[in-house]
Amino acid sequence: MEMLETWIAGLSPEQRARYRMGYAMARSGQEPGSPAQADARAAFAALERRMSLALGTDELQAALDQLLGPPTPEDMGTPEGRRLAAEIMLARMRAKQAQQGSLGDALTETDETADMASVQLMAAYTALLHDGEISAKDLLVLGHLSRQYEARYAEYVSSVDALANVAGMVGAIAAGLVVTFLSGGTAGPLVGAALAKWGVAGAGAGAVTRVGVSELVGGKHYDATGAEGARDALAGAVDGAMAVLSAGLAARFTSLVGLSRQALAARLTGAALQSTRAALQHVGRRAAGGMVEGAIDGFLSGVVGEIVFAATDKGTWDQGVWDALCDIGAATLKGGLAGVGTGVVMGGFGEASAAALQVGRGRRVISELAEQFPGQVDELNPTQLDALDATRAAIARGDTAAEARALSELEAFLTAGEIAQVRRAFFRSARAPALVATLRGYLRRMGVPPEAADIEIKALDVEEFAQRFGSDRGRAVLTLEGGRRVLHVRADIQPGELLDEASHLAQLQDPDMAAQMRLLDEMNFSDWSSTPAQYRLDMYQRKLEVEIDAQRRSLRMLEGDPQADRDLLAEVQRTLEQLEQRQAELAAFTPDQISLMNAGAQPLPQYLNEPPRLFNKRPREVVGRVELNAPGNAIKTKVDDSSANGYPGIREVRRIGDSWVERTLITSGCDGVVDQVQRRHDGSIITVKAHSGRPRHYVVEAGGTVNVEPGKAVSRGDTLGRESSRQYRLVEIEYDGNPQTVTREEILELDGGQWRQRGSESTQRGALMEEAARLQVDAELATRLVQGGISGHVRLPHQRGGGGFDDVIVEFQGTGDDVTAQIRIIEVKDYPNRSVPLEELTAIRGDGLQKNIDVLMQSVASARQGTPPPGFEHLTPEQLRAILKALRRESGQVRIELMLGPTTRVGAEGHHAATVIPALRKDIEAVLGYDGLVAPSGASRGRVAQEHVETVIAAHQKKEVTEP
Amino acid sequence: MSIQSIVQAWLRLIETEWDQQRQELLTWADPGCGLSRRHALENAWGDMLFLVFAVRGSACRDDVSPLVPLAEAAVHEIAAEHDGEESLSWAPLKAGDLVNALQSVGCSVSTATMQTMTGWLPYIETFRDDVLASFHWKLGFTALALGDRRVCYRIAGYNADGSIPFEAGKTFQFNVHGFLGHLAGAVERGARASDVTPAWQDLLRSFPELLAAGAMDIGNLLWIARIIHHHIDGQPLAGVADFLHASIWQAAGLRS
Repeated sequence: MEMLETWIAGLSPEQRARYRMGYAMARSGQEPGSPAQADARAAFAALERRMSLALGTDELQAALDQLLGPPTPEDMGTPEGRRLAAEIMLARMRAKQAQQGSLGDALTETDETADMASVQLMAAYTALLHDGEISAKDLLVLGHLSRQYEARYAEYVSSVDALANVAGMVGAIAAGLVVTFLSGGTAGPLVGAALAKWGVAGAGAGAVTRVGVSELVGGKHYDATGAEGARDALAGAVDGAMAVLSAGLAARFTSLVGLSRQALAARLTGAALQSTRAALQHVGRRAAGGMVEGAIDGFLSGVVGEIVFAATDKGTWDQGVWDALCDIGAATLKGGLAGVGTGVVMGGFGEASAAALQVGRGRRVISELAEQFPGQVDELNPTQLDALDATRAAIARGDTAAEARALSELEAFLTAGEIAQVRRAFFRSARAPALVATLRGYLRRMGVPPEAADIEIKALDVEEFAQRFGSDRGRAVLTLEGGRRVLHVRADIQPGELLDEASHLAQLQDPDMAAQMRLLDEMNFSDWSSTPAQYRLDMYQRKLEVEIDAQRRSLRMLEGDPQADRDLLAEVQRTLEQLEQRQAELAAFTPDQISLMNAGAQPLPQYLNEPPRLFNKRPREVVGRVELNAPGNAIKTKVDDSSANGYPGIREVRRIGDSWVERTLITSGCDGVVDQVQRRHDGSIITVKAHSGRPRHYVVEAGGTVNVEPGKAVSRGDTLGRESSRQYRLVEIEYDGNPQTVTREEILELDGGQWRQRGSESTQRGALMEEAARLQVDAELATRLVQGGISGHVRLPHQRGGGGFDDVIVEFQGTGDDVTAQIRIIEVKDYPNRSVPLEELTAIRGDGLQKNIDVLMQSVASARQGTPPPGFEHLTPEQLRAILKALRRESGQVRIELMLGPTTRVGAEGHHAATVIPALRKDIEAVLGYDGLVAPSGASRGRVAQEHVETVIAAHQKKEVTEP
Repeated sequence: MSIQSIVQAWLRLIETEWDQQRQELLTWADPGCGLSRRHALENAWGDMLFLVFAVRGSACRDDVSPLVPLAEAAVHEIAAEHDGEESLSWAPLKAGDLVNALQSVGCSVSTATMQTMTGWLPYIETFRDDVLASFHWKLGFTALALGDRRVCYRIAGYNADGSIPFEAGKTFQFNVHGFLGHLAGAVERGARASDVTPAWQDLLRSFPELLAAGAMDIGNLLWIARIIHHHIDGQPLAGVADFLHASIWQAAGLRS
C-alpha cells in the first residue's frame, strides 16, 4: 500500500486527469466518444484490476480517493470539466455506500449519519443538474456535501474497525482459554504455569480466531485474505498471547467509539462464542468429540456465571459501563477456567448477558437520577432507560462525540433544561470521581501525595468550567482558594492531559521549576503582539523547558508502572520527542535571524503568535519544519539619526523594517515579602525580605515599571518589575566606493537623541553587575594567592569607548625573569530572565575583540617605551614582557570568561553551530588562534553569585541615600 | 616624558631583549611552526620589531630579512580570506607595517604583494574615535605612500577630486589629522623635503604623548619617513629606516 501511495503521489497532473476521465467513463457506463476517452477508460480498468488484487476493501477505496483526488483547476474552468468532477464525486459516494450494511452495521449508529450525508449529496446533485450544466458555484456546493459525506463515511469505517477489533480480541481470549483447556483436560490447571507454558500455542490460536471474527463482524470492510488480514493475523497472534498471559483489556475496550452499549455487550459475547468455535477448528490438536463438547459447555457456563456476578455486583457497576465491560472481559477469562472445572451448563449466552445488563442499567440510572427527578424516574420505559444509559456511558468515559449523540436521543422525552440536569448528574456520579481518583493516583505515583502537596482537585462539567474560566482556557485551571491550591479539570479532559496536569502539580513542588512556571504568568504576556522576537523566543523556550520536564516526569511514572496504559506511554514519548525537537529548532535560530525577526524583516514562526501559556492543550505541532508567517516587512528607510551618520566614508544609513522595544522581567529569587521600594532618578531598587530574614535587592532601570508595593508577599519567580523602555532597530550601513553593506543593531540612547551600536551602551544594572563580578573575582584571586596558585595579580584598566573589556586580570606565576602571565578577560552580562543576544558581546568577538587585544598590546608597548598608561605604572619590565608574551597568538594564555547575572541565559552549545556560545567560540578562535572561551555552565560556573550582587546594590543604595 | 627618554627606553629594550626576540621571529617565520601566517604576523607585529628598524636602521637588514616570506605569505593568506567585497578591519594594516619596514631597510618584496596590499586599502574600515586612532592615521599614511589618493584624502578630510591647501613650514604638534593633510598637500604640490621638515620634527617631539594616547606608533613613523624621504625627497626606499633613525636622534638631541 505504501508503494502504491508513493506511486500515486508521483503522478503528473496529466496522468491523474487521464485516470479521472477513465474512472468517470467506467462508472457511468458511457461509450467512449474519442480515442482519448477509450484510452483513459482502458488505463483505469487495468489499474483497478491490479489494485483489487493487491488491496483490501478499505485500502482500495482509500487508494482510489488518493488517485482521483479533488477536482483540478482545469476541471473548474470548463462545463465538461465540472460535469466530470461532479460525476466522480457521485460515483465515489455510491461505491462507498455499497460497502455499508454488513453485520457490523447493526452495532453502530454512524452508518445512519453517513446515509443522511449521502442523501443530501444525491439531492443536491439532482437539483443542480436539472439544466444539464453545473456552474463553478454548483460544483463547490457538491464538493462541500461530498466532503461531508466522506467525513461521515470515515467515522463509519472507523466504528466498524473498532468493533471488529474488540470482537476479535474477545475471540482471541476465548481461543487462548480453549487451547489451555485442551492442553490440560477438564481437570487441568486454571492459571499460572500452564498459561505461561501454552502462551505460544495461545498466540497461534489467537491469530486465527481474530481474523475469523473480524471477517464476520466487519463484512466487506475486513478482507481476511488481503493485506489487512495479513497484518491482523500477526497482530492477532500477539493479542492472543497477550490475552492468555495478561488481563490488559481495558485499554483496548476504551478505544471503541460510536457503539451502543447493549449492542456491544451482545456482540461481544456472541463473538466470543463464534471465535471459540473457530479456534477449535484450527488449534491443530484433535480430541474426542464428547470430551471437547463437555469442555466447551463447562467453559461457557463459567463465562455466563461470571457475567451474572459482574452484572449484579454494585461495586463493579459503579465503575461505569465501560469499566464494567472491561470487567466482563476479565470475568470471561476467570469464568472460563472455573467453568471447565465445574462442568455446569447454563442456557443461552447472549440472552443471559443482555438480561444481566438490563438489570444493572435500570438500577444505576434510576438511583443516580432519583434526586434530580423525584417521582419521575420510576416511569421511564426500557427505551428511555437505554438512552439514558448510553448518555451516562459516554459521559463516564469522556467521549464527547458519543455524548453529543446520546444527548440528542434524550430530546425525544426530555426538555433542554432536563437534559442539562441529566448531564450534570451523570458527570458528578460517573465521571468526576474517576477523574479525581485518576489524578490523585498519578500524583501519588509521582511522589507528590495530593494531601501533602495541599492540592484539592475539582472536576467540573464543560458548562460549569466555561462559566467560571471562559471557554478558551484549556481543560484545566489551577486557582488559589483561601491559600489552598485547587485544580479544576474540565469534563472532557483527555487521559494524556490529565497526566500533564499531574506532572505540572508535581513541578510546583520543585522550587526551580515553580519559579520557571511563575514567570509564564499571564501578566508577562500582555501586549504579546507587540513584543519582539527575542522575548517571545525566551518565553517559549521556558515553556518548553517546563513542558519537557513535565513529560519526563510522566514518562518516569509510566515506565515504573507495569500496568500503565501503553498507548498513553507511547503518546508521552511522542510528545516528549516533539517538544525536544521544537526546543532544538528554537535553539538553532541564529542571532542574525532573531535580529531580522525583531525588526519585522523576517517572519516569526507561527507558534510564536500566541503567548506560551502553560496548562494549555498538549502540543501537537508539526515538527521538522518551521512554519513561518507571511513574509516580513524588509522595507529600508534612510535615517540620519545614527551615530554612524557623518563618519567619513559612510554614504548612507538605512533602517531595516521597524524599531522595537525589548522587555525585561525582574523576578524574585526567593520566597518572602517586599520590604522596600526605593524609587530613584536612575531607576528603582526593590528589597525583598526572604523568609530567612535576609534581604534581597533587585534593580529596575529608569523608565521601568515596579509591580509590587511594600508588604506584598512574593514567591520565587514572581514578577517584581518590568522594563520595556529601551528601543532597538536594525540598520544597514553603506560605504563610499564599497558595494558591501554592514548590518548592525542599534539602541536609542536614553535621552532619545541618537541611535548607537548595540552593546556599546552602559546601564545602571550593567555597571552594578560588573562591580559585583569584580568582587567575586577579587575574592577568588585572594584565595588563590593565599593557596599559592598564583604569585601575584593585577587588574588592568581597559577602555575603548563603550566597547572595551569589562575587566582584565593578569595572574602572574613565578618572579623576576621567570615570571609568566595569564590574562583573564571578563565580560559581564546581566539580562534578568532573558537570553544574551550575540550582538551584545561586541567586545569579545570579531573585530571588537581584535581591537581590544590590540589596545592591550599597545598599552603594554607604551609602558615598555617609558610612557605607561594609567594602571601600568607599577608593572616591572619582566611583568610587561610576560604580559606581551601572553598576548601572543600561540600562547593559549588569554582566557575570555563570560560571566552572567543570576537569572541571565545564553544560547547553549550542542544545538546549532550558529547559536550564541558556539558562534562566540568560533569568533574568539579566529582572533586568538585557539579556543580561549570559558563559557558559563551549570548553576555556578560563569555566574555572578547573588551574595556579591547584594553587597554591591546595598552599598549603592546607601550611597544614594546619603548623597542625594 | 620626552623623545629622549623614549629613545633611552628603546636602547635598553634592544640591549636586553633583541637576541631573544630574533630567535622567536625566526621561529614564527618558519611556516611549520604551527601558526597560521596571519597569526604569526600578529605575534611578530610589536614594539620590539619596529623599534629595531628605528634604532638600527639598515644595519638590521640581515636580522629581519627572514621575515620577508612571512610578510608575503601573511598578505596572501589575508587576501585569500577576503572575498573582494566585505570591509576589512584594521588588522591588514599590520601586514603593511611589516612590509614597509622590510622595504625601508632594503629587503625586496614582490610586486604582487604590494599590489595586493594596495588593493585592500579602500576596504579597510577605521574610525577616528577608536581608542587606537593610530590605525586610522596609519590607513591615511599607508594610502598616501602607496598612491591611493582617494583613501588618503578621505582620511585627511578632503575631496579626492579637489586639491589640498599646502603651507610650507607649517607645524601641527598633536594634530595628526592636520599633519596627514600637510603631507598629502606636499605630495600633490611637489613640495621639497625641507617644506615639511618643521612639521616632521615637531611630530617627533610630540611622539611620546601621541604614543601614550594611542594616536601614533613606530609603524606610523616608518610610513611618514617613507613619504618624506622617498616620495617627497626622491631618495631610495632602502634608506628610509636610516632616515628615520637620524631624524629621531636629531629630534632627541642625541648623536647617532
